[in-house]
Amino acid sequence: MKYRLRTAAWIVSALLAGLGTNAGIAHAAKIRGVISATTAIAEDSQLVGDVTCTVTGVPCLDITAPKVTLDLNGFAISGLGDPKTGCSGSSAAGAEHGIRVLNQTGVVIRGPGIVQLFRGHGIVVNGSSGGTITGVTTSTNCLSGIIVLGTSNLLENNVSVANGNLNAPCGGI
Amino acid sequence: MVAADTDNVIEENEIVGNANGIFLTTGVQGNIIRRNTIVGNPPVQLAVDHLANPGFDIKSLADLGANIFLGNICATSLNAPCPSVGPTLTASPNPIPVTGNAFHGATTLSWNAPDAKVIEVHVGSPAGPVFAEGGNRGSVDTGVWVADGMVFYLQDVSDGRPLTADYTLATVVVRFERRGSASLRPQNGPGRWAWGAALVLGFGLFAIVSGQHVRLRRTALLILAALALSRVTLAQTSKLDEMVKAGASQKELANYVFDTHGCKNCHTIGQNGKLGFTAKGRERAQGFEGCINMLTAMTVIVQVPEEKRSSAQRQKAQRFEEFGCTSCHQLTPGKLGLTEVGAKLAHLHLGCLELEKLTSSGPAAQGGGRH
Repeated sequence: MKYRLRTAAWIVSALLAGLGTNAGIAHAAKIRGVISATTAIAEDSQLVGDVTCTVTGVPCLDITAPKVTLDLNGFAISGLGDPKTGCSGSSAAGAEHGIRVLNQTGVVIRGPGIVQLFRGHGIVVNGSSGGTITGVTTSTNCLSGIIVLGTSNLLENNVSVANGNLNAPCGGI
Repeated sequence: MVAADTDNVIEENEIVGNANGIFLTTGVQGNIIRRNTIVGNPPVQLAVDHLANPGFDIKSLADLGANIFLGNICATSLNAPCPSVGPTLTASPNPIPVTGNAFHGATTLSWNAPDAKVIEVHVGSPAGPVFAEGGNRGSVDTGVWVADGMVFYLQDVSDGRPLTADYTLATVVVRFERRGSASLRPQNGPGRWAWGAALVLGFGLFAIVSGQHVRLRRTALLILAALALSRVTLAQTSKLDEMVKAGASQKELANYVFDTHGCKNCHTIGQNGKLGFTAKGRERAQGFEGCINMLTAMTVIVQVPEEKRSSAQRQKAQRFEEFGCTSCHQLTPGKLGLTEVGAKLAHLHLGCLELEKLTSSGPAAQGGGRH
């Protein structure tokens, strides 16, 4: 009986993985497909395909451990924003962000890759230090492309295009 | 960036068509924003249509001077410098045209660093010997001591910023372009009579200006000394001219210079391109930093008024004279130039390093009378 239950669990996991749907609490190493609940990242991870985020009001990818490297590998992470404005049509912003780094040290987010169409910020570095964001393109996010609320972080060789809105005119960075 | 953000570095990003390019809110301080390309923020249509709460390429609500902006390319800003070009450091000529196997050349360094208040130019590394200092725009002649491949660093030292790569605004590598062989007479240099006359006139003027303090006899002695010095110089350079005309080899010329310019007081002819030392020379060479380092240091020291020199700088200047460097290198306030002999020898590719190679190359030393 115990053996059968374990086998069933493996089969269900494999099916979920095959569908490309990430469970919200996964400590992902390889990420792709549709993300419908915040994916916590606590180990070095990489995109292995484009990611579409259908989360609302919460971050799509949430880096929850220090010294984690997220490699975008040339793929895109896209939110639910309007393709022209990045917001909810022309109205106020939503709250979901592409990637959040909250209270961590030494996190690296490495491009090439694009974080786009989030109704909040593309990337939020909050209360974190010693991190690096390099080679990432942020585009058409309703708030900032990259927002930094922390110390001793390095942002270099990134591209920020068409982020922000009229009501809360944030910056590309 | 917002609130207590500090010590972040935002560099070499491309930021286009956002509501604002880079946005710093009130209280943000201690961050470095440099070498970013920030244009078209907000996009032109938005800038025209939306006049309330306008956006900028750089919008800073932080206190002026609280953050460092260096060399960003941008068009519009609020409370932040927005130059159209970044800081530059250039050398002219570069490459430096040199003839034969010359080891040293001269160039003029020019810099423009709109965002900096005070700059320094360092040799070899951000913290290498300082060669020049000044405001955010200027130029300076190097003198004939620049080596092929030498790198100069333009450092922002405003507000006591440290000599690290973080505050390197620009660098320039100076190269040589080698051309045909040397001609006999120095080009563009003063003739030997001009130097002698200048010395005599200089002493004469000194005597006139300070006439009430200087006795005529002393003035006469000074003039005689100047004449004697110019005659020695003349004799040496004349002999060199004659040797060149007679078709003397570079090695023979080198040997003559070695014998007649005080080199043999401290050196012996060596082997494999290296000179040896006499007992006196060995004693004096203790702690010697090498010719290149000494020359580089002296280019700095001559710019420091004598009364303001540190003890180490005074000691170095003293050694510079003791080592006979002043036979060829002329110390004038603010500049290290060449004496007539120095200019002549440099032109004949008979500088110290060349001399060492020439006299100490080959299986055995030529010429008699040497140690």
